[in-house]
Order: sequence, then C-alpha cells, then structure tokens
Amino acid sequence: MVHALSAYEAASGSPGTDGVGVDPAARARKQAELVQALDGRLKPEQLIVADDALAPFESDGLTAYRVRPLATLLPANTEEVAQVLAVCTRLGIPVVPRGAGTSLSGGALPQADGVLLGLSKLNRILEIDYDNLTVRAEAGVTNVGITEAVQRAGFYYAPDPSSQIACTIGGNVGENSGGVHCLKYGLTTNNILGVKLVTIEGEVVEIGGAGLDSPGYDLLGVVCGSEGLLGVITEVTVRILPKPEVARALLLGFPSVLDAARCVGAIISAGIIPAGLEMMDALAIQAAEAFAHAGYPLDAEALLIAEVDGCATDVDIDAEAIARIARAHGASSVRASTSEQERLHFWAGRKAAFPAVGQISPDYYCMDGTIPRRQLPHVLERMAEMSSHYGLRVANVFHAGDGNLHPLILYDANVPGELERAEAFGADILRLCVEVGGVLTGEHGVGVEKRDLMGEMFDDIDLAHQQRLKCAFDPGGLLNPEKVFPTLHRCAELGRMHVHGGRLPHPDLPRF
Amino acid sequence: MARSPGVSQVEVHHPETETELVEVIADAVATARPLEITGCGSKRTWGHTLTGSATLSTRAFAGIRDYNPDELVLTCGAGMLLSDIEHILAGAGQRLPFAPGHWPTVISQTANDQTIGGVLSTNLAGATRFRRGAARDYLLGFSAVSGRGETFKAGGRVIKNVTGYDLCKLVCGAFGTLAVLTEVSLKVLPAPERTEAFRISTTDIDDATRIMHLLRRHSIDVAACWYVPEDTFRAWPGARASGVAAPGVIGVVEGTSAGMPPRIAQLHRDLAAAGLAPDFTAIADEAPLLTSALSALTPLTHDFDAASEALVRVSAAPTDLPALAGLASAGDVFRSIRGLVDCSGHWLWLRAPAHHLADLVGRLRAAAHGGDSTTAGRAMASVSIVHQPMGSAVPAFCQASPVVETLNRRIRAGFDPVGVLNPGRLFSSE
Repeated sequence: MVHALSAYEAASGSPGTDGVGVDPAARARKQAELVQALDGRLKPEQLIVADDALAPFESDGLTAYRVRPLATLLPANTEEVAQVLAVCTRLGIPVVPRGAGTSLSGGALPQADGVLLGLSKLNRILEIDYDNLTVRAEAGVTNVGITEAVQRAGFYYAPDPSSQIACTIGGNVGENSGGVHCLKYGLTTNNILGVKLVTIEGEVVEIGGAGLDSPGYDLLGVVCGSEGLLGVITEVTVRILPKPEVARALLLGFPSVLDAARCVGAIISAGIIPAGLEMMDALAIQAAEAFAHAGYPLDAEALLIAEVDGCATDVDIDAEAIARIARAHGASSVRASTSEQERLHFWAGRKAAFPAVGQISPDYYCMDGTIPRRQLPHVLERMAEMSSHYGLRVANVFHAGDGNLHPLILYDANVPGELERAEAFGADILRLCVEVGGVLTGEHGVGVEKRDLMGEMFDDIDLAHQQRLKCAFDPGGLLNPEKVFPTLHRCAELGRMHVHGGRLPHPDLPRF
Repeated sequence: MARSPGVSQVEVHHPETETELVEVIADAVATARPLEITGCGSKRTWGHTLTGSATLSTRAFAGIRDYNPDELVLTCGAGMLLSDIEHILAGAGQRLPFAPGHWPTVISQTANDQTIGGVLSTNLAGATRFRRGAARDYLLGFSAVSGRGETFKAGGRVIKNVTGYDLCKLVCGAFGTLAVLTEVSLKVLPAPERTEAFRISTTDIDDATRIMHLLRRHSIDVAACWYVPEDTFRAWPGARASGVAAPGVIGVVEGTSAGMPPRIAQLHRDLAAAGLAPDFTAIADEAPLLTSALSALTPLTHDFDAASEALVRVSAAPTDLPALAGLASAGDVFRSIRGLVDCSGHWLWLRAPAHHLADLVGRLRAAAHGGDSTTAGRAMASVSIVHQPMGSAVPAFCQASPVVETLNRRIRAGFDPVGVLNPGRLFSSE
C-alpha cells in the first residue's frame, strides 16, 4: 500500500495537468482559472483556495495519507453541484466528491490538481412519507439524522455503519455501507429506492423512483458502491422500517475462537438470523472493557454479541435458543439483556472498539475483508503467524454473521518503518482473504488503499468489463480518477473488439 | 454446428462448456448474427420477442457447484432449474428469500419450469418484494460470457462485498442483453417455521388501500399483502379452495409457530381499533396453498389465453396505485380488464384482451409520466407488459428519461458492441 501512495504523490495528476500538483505558479494559475469560470456562482465561503483553509480537507478517515486539493468547493444545492461539475468538465479538472470524509479507504482523498467537492451543505431532509415509508434526504444528511427524523413516529433507517453519527447518506450510497444490523436488514443497496445524481457533465438525473421497478438497467444498483466514480449524488430516497417491538442482546463468552465460530454456524443452521452477530477476540475484548466497562468477560478468548429483534414471543424463543446453542458449544458465560438500557450497555464495548484500541496503541490500522465464515479459525491462525513475522499486534472485530473481518493492526507511526510494516501486514491479510475464497473489502471500499490489490481478485478482462461501466458515465475519467482501479484504460481502447481466430467482425465491410 | 447459407432454418446452440459458449458468441459477433438466449423459454413473451434468430440454450450449465447452508451461500450453474434449486434448499430448511413468482410457467405455452439464470435476468420477485427484495438483492457473484465473447466474473461468494462495481445488479433485470450467465452465487436464508394468513373482506379499493397502509407500517412484520377485487374474485373458481372466501385484502405472516397466534391477534386488534376490520378471518392451514396460488397469480391466470390476452404489471408507490387502478377500470372499454393488487400495494397486475392493450398501456403511461416526462423528473409508475401474444408489438417497457436512455445505450454497447445478445429485447429502438 505504501507504493500506492508514492505513485499517487509522485504523479502530477491526470495527463494534461501542466504540473499543477507540484508547481506553485501553475497551481495558482489553475485556481484563478477555476474561480473565473465559476463566475460568482458560489459565495466566497463556498470556494476555498487558501492553503491553511484547505488543510482540514487533505485527508479522510485514512489519516496516514494527505493531499492538498487545488480547491475545495462547497455547493449548497443540486443546481450548484451541476454548475460546478460543468465547469470542471470544461476546464478538465478532476473532481473528488466528499460527504463527511469518514472513509477508511481514502475514497475522499483529494487530487493535488483537482477539486474536492464537499456535499456537507446539502443537509436538509426534503420529504418524509409515512404512507409509502420513504424519506427523501439531501446527500449531506447524516445516517443517524434520517433515523432521528422519523423515530418519534416509531420508524428508523436500518443500515447503521459505526460512523453513523457523522457519515452522510450520500457517502453511504457511494460505499454501499453496511453496519452491525446488515445481516438481517441488508446493506445500503437493499434499502434505497432512488437517487438524484449529477453526471460529470453537469446533467441532473433521477435514478430509480417512487415505485420498486424502473425500465432499463439497474443503474441505482451500480451507482451504489461506485465510490464517487460514476456521478455525484445530491439526493437519496431511502426506505424506513417500523421499529421492532422488542430487541434483546446476549453476551456469550467462549474459551476459544473455534468454539465461538462453531456456535455461529450452529445458530444459522438452527434457522435463526439474528439482527446482529458480532465477535471479538481476546485483545479486542480487553481493550474494549478497559475503555467502556461494559462487563465483558476478561477470561474469554472470544466474545459473541448476538441481538434478536421482532415481536416479543419470537424474541423470547430466539434468545432462548441462542443461549442453549451457546452452552452446547462450550460457552463459558451467557448473559441476556433484561432492559433496553442493559442492551445498549452490552453494545457499548463493541461500538467503542476502535477508540478503545486507540487507547492501547499510539496508532492502529483498521482492515476490512470478508471471508467464508468456516475459514475464520484458519485465518486467525495465519494472522497470528503474520503478527509474529511483522512484530505487530492485531486485535480482531468480526461481523460473524456475514464473515466481514476487521483486523486492527497496532503500530506506532513514530517508530521508523512501523507504518510500512503495518501496511505490508494489512496487504497480506487481504491477500489471505481472497486466497481462502473471500473478498478484499466488505464495507470500507477499495478507495486508494486497496487499489493495487484488485489484481488479486480480478483479472484484466474482469476489470475491463467493470471499467466499461465507467466509460458509460464518465468517459473522460474526471471523477475520482485515482481510486479503485489500478490501471486505467482509455475508453476508446476498451471499446475495441478482440479478433477471434483471425476473424474480424463484419469481414465484408471495407476498412480504412 | 453446420450452417447452410440460403436455407432459413433456426439454429439451436447447446454449448456444454464455457469454451463452447465463447465460440458460439464469437461466431455470432464475427457474422453479426443475433442470438436469442433461452433457459426454459418461460418468459419469452416478456419484452420484445426475437423471431428468426438462432437460439442459445443455457441448459447445460446446471448443477450445484457449492452449497453451505450455514454460510447462507449457494453456487450453481445458471441453467439450473428453479424447481431443483427450491427442492434442494427446502431439504436444508432454507429458501430463496425473494420467492420468485411461479406465474411465468402458468401462462407460458411451452415451458413448465424456469432457470435461475432467467429468474435473475428478469429480476423476478415475489409478493414479498417490498420487505424481502428481489432477485437483484440476492445475487452475490457470477461468471459469464459477455457479448464481446469474453469470459469474466464479478462479485464473489460472500454476503458482504463492495469490491469494485456491483455488476451483479447490472445483469439482474438486463434480460440477457449484456452477458450470458454461466454460474451464479446466491444468498439464501432459512425458510420460516410457519406461514399463516388472514383475510379482511372489502370490495372498495380505498378501504383496501387504508388497510394495506396499516399492514405496511405495522411493527409486526406482514410479509406481503394483496387486494383481490370483487370481479376478479367472482371469476376465480378456485378462490374458496385456496382459502379466499370473499373479495378483500389478504395478508401473510411468517415466523415461529409459537409466535403466530399473538401476532395475528395483535394485527386483528390494531385493525379493529382503526375501524378497518369488520370481517377479519384467520387462514391458518390453507396458508401454503394460498401463497402458492398467489405466487402463480392464479386469480388472474387460471384460464389465461396466451394467444389473445395480455398481462401487465404496474409498479408504483402505494399511494399512487389506486388512481392508476381507477384508470384501468374506467369506462366501458375496460370492463373486461381484471386486476389484482400485489406486493403490499406496490404492484397492480392487469389482465386484458390483447386488442385493448395499446389503449390501456397508453393511458397508464401517460398518467405515470405526466408533467415530468420531458425533464429528468421521476416517473410516477413503471408499466411493464409481462406477456402479450406473439405478433403483438406494444412497447413492453416504459421510455426512460433521455439521460438514462443514453447511459443504458452506452452500457449495452460496452458489453455487447455488435448487439448479438437478445437485440431489441429490452430497448425497442434496436
């Protein structure tokens, strides 16, 4: 991953940028050209070019990487977004969209020669429809903000990534965010009905709609998870759900990871799909308990937190069954929440796992990969070997229900070489995920972080087919150009047909 | 694969390996000759049917490749039969969560089953779509050969995956116009222990709408509900045997056996408190028969004449559906049209004589696109003709906005530049 940064920093941006990234004079010229082209369409406070004012925008949640953009623009509505994009297209300036900048994969890392387009001013909830059970919100509304708007009426928005108090719904769509409850309730892509998108040329388009079906291809489905590469989302229509009658959590301690993993399989085999099913290893348990004092069993090698929700009778039945299954798989401790307060308390340690780990180490590097669940013991064993090899500890938090693993690699950036070792360790973990039949990223996205590992999972033809989608939306490659794909091809090149067995298509047509 | 130039015979290709499939498609590209992709052919009349092209059958790509019930993932050949998949899943106490409707095989004149590839390619869903999603929500990964004659894969075999663009969503509902699927990985879920139903008598669509609103909003998860109007009920001889003793709203609840009585009782109480359940009847043991009948759209399809009738699906927000239903039954001309409200108020199925089809669909689309049709605005509804007789050429799908049409065209050109895979099936301008 370090070489990804070097290449990124060394490049002066996309072809034809005239050294804007490295030459202060060229940079100042380009800024002036941009300001002039915007021609007063944005208010002064929406157009940031001063170096010190740009500093907060240099990084997203992948804080080891910082790049100062050419300018940060903060449009206030869809119309302004469209005008900005049209101008950037005309001037050939790349654009990096940004919601709250909580991305852990560098998805909102700026381009030195590009505009950072912040959507935070689009922060209004436009429509709440309790008959059709939808909420239409501007892209800059926070994830939890949507739930807060409807909770007094007894509803909520289900996907709950752990950054939900800060992350935006537009960013959620860009990353196809998940969260603890996505095993039962799905990812962002399963919970939205439509978006308003602005293309790189500045055209506003409604994708999806009020009903469940639209003609043509599932553009909503491909835009979700497209990491800001296909268009800029300015509005999202989400589905809201009635709050379940009851929710209960269980804390299950196990003497070994293998026992806990087998218990998870047994719960699913019993036909129970918990609303949430999380696992933490010993180091994560200890860190979380020291930080949050949630009453986690410190003697356990693995902790499962299971949550069931629904009507009271079903919750009683499922909670009882989970406790029984846990005991049958050697659980050393079984506790069920008896009140809403206690339920939230059980979750407190898990929800604070990342800052908790931040307390036991100067720095940590949060990984994200998915594996088939039966591979967990093997993967943890291999990670322990890597931990010895790299001389760095790793704590594990695991969405046990769906196999999404978050290893937290502990390091100290002030020790020379530790950042590089942490990144090498992380890359090895992701290669291992793919090796055992999993994938590079379950919810954080590829961004810049995992870009150069895409070849572990996809061959050149696989990647070329994906990139043809890009060609349909943004043939000039101005949106988030350095993200996700390691090798960019020109769209004309991707459009060419191969010759099969010496035969050209339409052999009878004259060729010039 | 002998070909006799000058003799117009329809070739049928049955590739058995990916290499053979690549060869067939490469050949089609080199000669610019279109291919009609078929599994069982049960949905041939959904979309613009190709005639006279060579056929490419996917049936050889069958069989389970990998199935781990406790991983909730099943991988199989795209040409595998839906009934075989459902049988294997049932054996492990699981099911396809999107409950694909069985109606295509009821109205098809030639097919008695569907392939999973066809189910995915048409994004077939069931009455629970509102709560549980459609096929597109459960495809995790696939292998395919594109219209470029190239083998490629996308997605993976795990549930949580955001690596690269979500091409699984792209191929679902693409009607075979981008690639021929060879292998698919699906998310599966446990089947519920118990399914029960209930009926609330009403013959008034506004009343039915109010009832369905309450059912959709209720914290007790009502998996699906339908409204069977009076004339549809009267024309359905199997109604009583399926547990439907009178016209009205039917709801289905899934879950544990022990949890069923309090949930049904709670629904009854809350409907009564809202003044909405003058006649509430629980349907316990006939519930599986009832859901099976509704999956086949039996109230509308039981004596369907595919040669002279059409089946239309209107998809809209529940608050907009009643007005569209009103349009469909307005005036003398449309008295012969029978309807069924499905999917908790999101779908309106209409059965119409083919000679009324153009008029019916014209009126519905004009209302659906009224006002905003020239801008990037959202259409109120999507009107899709899922069956019309061979030879009937009413556009099967709505026109999208110009920007969306451009995106669709570019995507198609990227995956199938010569246009050999099901040309014209999805976009009538081809």
